[in-house]
Amino acid sequence: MAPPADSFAFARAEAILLDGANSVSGQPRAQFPARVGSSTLAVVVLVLALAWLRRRRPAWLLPALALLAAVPGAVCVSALRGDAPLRRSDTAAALVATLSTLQREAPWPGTPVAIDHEDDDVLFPLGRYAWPSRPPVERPAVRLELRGGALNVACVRDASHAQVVCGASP
Amino acid sequence: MIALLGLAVLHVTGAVILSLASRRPLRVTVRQPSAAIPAIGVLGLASLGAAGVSLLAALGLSAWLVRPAQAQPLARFPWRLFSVGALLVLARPWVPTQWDEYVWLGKARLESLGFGAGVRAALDATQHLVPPGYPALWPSAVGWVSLGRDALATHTLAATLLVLLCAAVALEAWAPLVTRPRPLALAVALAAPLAWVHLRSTYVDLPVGLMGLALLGQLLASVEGRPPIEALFTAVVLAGFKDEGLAHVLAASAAGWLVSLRRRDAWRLAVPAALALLSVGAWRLLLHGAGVVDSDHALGLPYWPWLPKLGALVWLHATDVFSWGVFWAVAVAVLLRGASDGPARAARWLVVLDFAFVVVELLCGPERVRAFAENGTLVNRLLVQLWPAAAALVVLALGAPDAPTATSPAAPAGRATPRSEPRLRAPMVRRRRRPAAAGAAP
Repeated sequence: MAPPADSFAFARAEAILLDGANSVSGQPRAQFPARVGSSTLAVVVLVLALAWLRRRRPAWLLPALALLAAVPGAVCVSALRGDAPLRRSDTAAALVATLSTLQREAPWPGTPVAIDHEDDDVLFPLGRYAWPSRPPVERPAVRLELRGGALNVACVRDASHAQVVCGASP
Repeated sequence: MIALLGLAVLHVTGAVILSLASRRPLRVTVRQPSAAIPAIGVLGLASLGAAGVSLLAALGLSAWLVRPAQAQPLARFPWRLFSVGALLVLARPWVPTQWDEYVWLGKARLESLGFGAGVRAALDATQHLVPPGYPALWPSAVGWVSLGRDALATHTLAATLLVLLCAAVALEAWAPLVTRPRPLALAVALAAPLAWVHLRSTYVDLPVGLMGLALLGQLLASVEGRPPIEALFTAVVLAGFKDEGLAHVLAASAAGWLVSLRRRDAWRLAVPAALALLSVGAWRLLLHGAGVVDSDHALGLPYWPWLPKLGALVWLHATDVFSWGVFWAVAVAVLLRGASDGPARAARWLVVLDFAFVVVELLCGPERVRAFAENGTLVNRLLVQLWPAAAALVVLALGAPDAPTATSPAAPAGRATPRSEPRLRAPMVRRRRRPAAAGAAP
């Protein structure tokens, strides 16, 4: 039941950042496309487990079922996801590079910053780390916009150098 | 690496506090893997300012109420199991990869401005912290373990160490109750891929579940109705980590109380919960005074029309084979027909009560919470909070004596439990079909 790697949404660092903690493979966000198979398996195992708990014979049956059923998820966690052991370095590098780009524009807490706009997307959490508190700005500040849903973005200053847009242009 | 030093400082400080409060020698408490928790609890209360002073006095009074007549011995800690898990958790780049990790760790940066800066910012609406009104202890503790150093890798390692600390607290609390778990039972409990994702992240959902389980284990180890002193700190820290923490404290306390109903001195089991209620009440008062509104966890009347949707969502999330394998199917089977004695009964109550809190949170919470549940970003994380209790139940039930053989007249004399089964040893918990002396304190 493991999805093919090339179509696996959570292979991308952006998907891991947005949804990686909410499920192993993105089923909830996609409205559970594998719901029939998953539900059927759960009902079968529930019935088998209830029967197994009466006699516990053969002893290996329930553990074997549980371990087998965990294989698709284990494949995602260990190999396919963007935070799988062999892929995590790339994801981490993309995140650190993007965060550094943001932080360079207005190092916290020394540089006053005003966030004029932030999309509810991948740059939002990075922006929250870069500028955890947003006190009122009383003197000239860096005015920032965080836009778009991609990592490894650049920040561009407008002609007057008063406004910085990080990510996609509005 | 400075985070390791920070944890060591908290560990030694906590060991001193534990030694003073529990009458155990310092050389014993310093060997307790959970020793940093009392230090985090005391620092957490102190960071609340004047309100914290009153709470520290209440903590002292509570410690006096439950103080043991004599020092209780410690059980062996499962170092091998913990070390393997810790290695798997730590062996990764110390860079967060998930949304809330950045939000939580961002608030940890505030502690680099000075002790208690996280609390002060949370109580200042003009600072625009998100989400507003959330308890500040988890990010503050990350800042303290980081010793105020403002670096992403330090914060990530510090938070990872805190996740491991919570796992250690749970293992330490349950070590006297399950001394030799069956490997296959452990394998079933761990066959939940999403739990591994959270073990290798710094989200606070899994730590909250682990601490709830730990609190129940500590309450079950009560002697003469007096919970161990660690339970006070666990309750305070758990309630400070996250709003749901209080629900876990109440669930664990109720579960501990339900399995010791007939004891006249069981009222002391409520002392940790009372302390947690007091600290949450103080936090809410501080928020109210500062004009900060925690809208995410404001409970109202149940929105009954959503009940069928809630059932469907919980079913679909729990049966998602990629995230959970068939862990929840097995857990429900065990819940319906598993061992019902001693710690297993308490764990069963904990799972039931924890689930009830999930239902209440989703049904009585604001519309925004139900929207999160429907768009797939909330239910699994609530199930992650339940997973430690359900995993403990599965380990206890699958490791329990086989129904046909343990009570069989053909079983060899003097061997009530086979060698591979867990040895149950819980002073507060009565067991059936056992001589009374077997339940005495070790």
